[in-house]
Amino acid sequence: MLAEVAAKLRRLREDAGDTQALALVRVGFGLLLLNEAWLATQELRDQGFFGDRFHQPYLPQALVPSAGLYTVLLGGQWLAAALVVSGRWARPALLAAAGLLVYTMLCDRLWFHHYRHTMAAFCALLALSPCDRHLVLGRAPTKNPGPLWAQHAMKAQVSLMYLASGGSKLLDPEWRGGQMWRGMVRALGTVPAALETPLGASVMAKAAIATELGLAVLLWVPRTRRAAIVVGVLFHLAISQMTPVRLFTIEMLLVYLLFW
Amino acid sequence: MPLLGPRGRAWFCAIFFGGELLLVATAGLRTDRSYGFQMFPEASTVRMRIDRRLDGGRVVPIEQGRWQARDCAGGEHTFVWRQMVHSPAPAALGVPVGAPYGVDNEVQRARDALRWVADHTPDDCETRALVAHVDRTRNGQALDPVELEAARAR
Repeated sequence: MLAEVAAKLRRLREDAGDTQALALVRVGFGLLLLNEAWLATQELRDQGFFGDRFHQPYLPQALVPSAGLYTVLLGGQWLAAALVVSGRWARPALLAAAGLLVYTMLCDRLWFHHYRHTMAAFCALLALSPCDRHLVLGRAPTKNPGPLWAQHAMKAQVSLMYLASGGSKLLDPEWRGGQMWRGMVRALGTVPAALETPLGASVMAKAAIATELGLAVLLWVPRTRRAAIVVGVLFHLAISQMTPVRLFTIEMLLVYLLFW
Repeated sequence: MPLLGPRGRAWFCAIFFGGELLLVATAGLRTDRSYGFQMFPEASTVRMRIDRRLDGGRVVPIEQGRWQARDCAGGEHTFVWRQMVHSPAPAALGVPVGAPYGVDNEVQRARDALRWVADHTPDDCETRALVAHVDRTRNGQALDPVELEAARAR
C-alpha cells in the first residue's frame, strides 16, 4: 500500500504534459491580483493609511510599513499583477504577489480572509509551474510538454482545503448538528424557509460536510473526477449565491480547470 | 526563473504542505482560526457599548460613538470611535454586528481596539479607562456578556 502511494507520488512528480490550462489559470489569478490591488488602492484613498487607525499586526510594529513604504508596496502589487496577466516575468511576479499578500495580512490581521490566503497559496504554487508558455504578450506559445508537478500540487492544495474545511465542521457538534447553518441562513435571509427548520438545517449541514470531504477524494479518482467537478462547481456557485464569497468562488472555479 | 528538478520538487512540497498542515492543525490556537481553512465557522454576533471611567471613578457612557474631553491644557476635543476603529473591527457601537470568524475573535478584536484607542487618544486627559460591555451570541444562542477594560496611561 505504502509502496503504491510512493510510486503514485513519484509519477505525479515526474509527470509532464500540456501547459495551456496553467496559462489560463495564471491569467485568471492575474486579474484577481489586479482586483486586489484596486481594492487596496480604494481603501487607501477612501479610508487613509491603515497604520493610522486601529490595526492588529501579527508582526512586531517595527516591521509594519510606514505610509510611504506602503504606497510603494501597493505600486509593487499593481506591477506584479500586470506582469502576471501579461505573462512576461510572470513567475517571479506571482511569487512577489504572493509574498506581498502574506506580508500585508501579517501587518494587519483585520485583512485576513480565506480567499486572500488561498490566493497567496495558489500564486506561490503557480509560480513554480511552467505557466508562462502560453498566453504571453508578444510571444508565440511554446508547445513542448512541461512538468506538471506544480499543477498536481495545486490540486493537492484544493483537497487539503476541503479536508480542513469539512474536517473542522465535522468535529464541531454545533456545525454538524445544523445550529450554525440555521443561524447563518437566518442572518442571510437568502435561503428557502424549509432549510431554516432544525431538520432542514441538520440535513444541509451534513450534506455540506459530506460534499467537502467527498470532493477532496473524488476529484482525484479518474472514474469520478468529471462528476466531482460538476458537483464542486454547483457547490461553489450555490455558496456564492448565499454568501458574500465571490472572489473565493472564482479562485476555486479557476483551479478546477486543472482537474479537467 | 528556473523550474525545480525532481529533488527540489519533493523538498518544496514537503516544506509547503508541511507548513500548511501545521497551520491547519494549529488554527484553533488563533481566535480567528486564520490560515486553517475553517470556512463559516460560526453564525455569531456581538453588540458592544463603551463607557468612560473618569477621575473619581464616575462612569459615563459613550453615546453615538463619540465623546468630548479636555486635554491637559484645558482645550476641548471630540473623539469619534468610528474614525479610529474601522470595520471589520467592531466599528459600530450599540448594534449587533456579525462575527464571521467567530465570537471569540470578535471579543479579541474589541479588546485590542479598546487598548489601541486608549493608547492613541493623548488629548483626552479626563478618561482613566475605557470599559466595554460586549453582548455575545454564538449560533443563535446568547452567551454571558463580557466586560473589557483598558486603563489609560497618564
